[in-house]
Amino acid sequence: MSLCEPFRRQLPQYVADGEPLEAAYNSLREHLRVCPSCNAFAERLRLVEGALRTYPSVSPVPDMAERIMQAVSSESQTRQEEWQILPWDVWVPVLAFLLAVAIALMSIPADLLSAGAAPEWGTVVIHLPRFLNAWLGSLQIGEGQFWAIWIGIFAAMAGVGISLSLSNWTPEHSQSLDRLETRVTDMATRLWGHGRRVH
Amino acid sequence: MNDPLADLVVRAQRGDMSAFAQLVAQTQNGVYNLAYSVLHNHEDAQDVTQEIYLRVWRALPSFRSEAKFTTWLYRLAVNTCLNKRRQLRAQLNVIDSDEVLQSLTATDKDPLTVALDKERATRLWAAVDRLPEKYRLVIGLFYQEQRSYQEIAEILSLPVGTVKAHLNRARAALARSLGQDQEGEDVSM
Repeated sequence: MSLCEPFRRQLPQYVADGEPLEAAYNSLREHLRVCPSCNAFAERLRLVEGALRTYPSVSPVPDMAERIMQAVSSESQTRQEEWQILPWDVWVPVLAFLLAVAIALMSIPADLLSAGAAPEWGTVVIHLPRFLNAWLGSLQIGEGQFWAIWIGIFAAMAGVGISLSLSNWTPEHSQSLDRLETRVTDMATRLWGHGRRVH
Repeated sequence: MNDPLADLVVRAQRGDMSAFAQLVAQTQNGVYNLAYSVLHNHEDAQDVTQEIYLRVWRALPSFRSEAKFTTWLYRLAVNTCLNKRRQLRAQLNVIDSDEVLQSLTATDKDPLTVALDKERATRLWAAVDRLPEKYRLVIGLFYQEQRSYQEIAEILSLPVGTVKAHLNRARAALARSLGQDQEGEDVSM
């Protein structure tokens, strides 16, 4: 290792800091007084420092910000549209299933529920058939037949929807589910972020 | 933390597009320069700048104001640029190793072009462009973006000492390249 090497390692920081008068640099200053080679190197470092401090910026095209905002707003629009157009083979079976379950629950005879169910539930279930009975009387269909048809239709819809979605399973459907997952995650993140801000 | 952009950031997080447009307007030059310093190509720098802001828009709800917005933005920008560069590396055929520091020399040996300080500075800037990526990044952030050592360390996920070491090695390499130029000048005179 040459005598100059430790000083050469110190020189870039020394010059960049504006050659401070700190005691830590005393030996470096002493060395510079007697070493023409290190002096020349320090001079070059000063030139480098001067050049770097005027290192020119490059400018983006004038409409860069406009382009960025167009891309951002177009993506936001797409994300909003995606919320509105869930694929039919996802929402039809889900809707049919929920309706079938809801109607099946409502059609449970009141006397089965009145013993153990909560009072509000009992009220709903007891009053609904009475209202429907009047309507069914005008159609001349028995209550039992009506519920059988009604539940049958919804169960069939649910079955058809689920069968179709399973039989037509393609990568696109996986993407739909991925999108659904992304939306749920996104919403959870936003809710979590909002919750944290509130706290 | 006193962040001059904090108010705009909060509004943008709530989905305010005009606030986000102001954030873009105030930060795009720095991000573009950073992208250009990594990619060395205006078209790629424009594409990647757009991609960076799209990512910022998507990730903004998860931004916590524990860090300065610009530090977070530059960290995201650096990662995006480095990913883009990895994709382009085969096409660019760039050697990114410290050996480049040792072999850094000016391309133009004409003595007339080294006579003036302005031209010398231009050659130095050209030499900066030939530095390995990690050195160019710290030089761009320190001299162009005027970020502190601490901020650069946070942006690049490096210790402050490493940031200073990268800067000093780059300065020394540039000074050596200037020495080679001057030797050429002396010989030809």
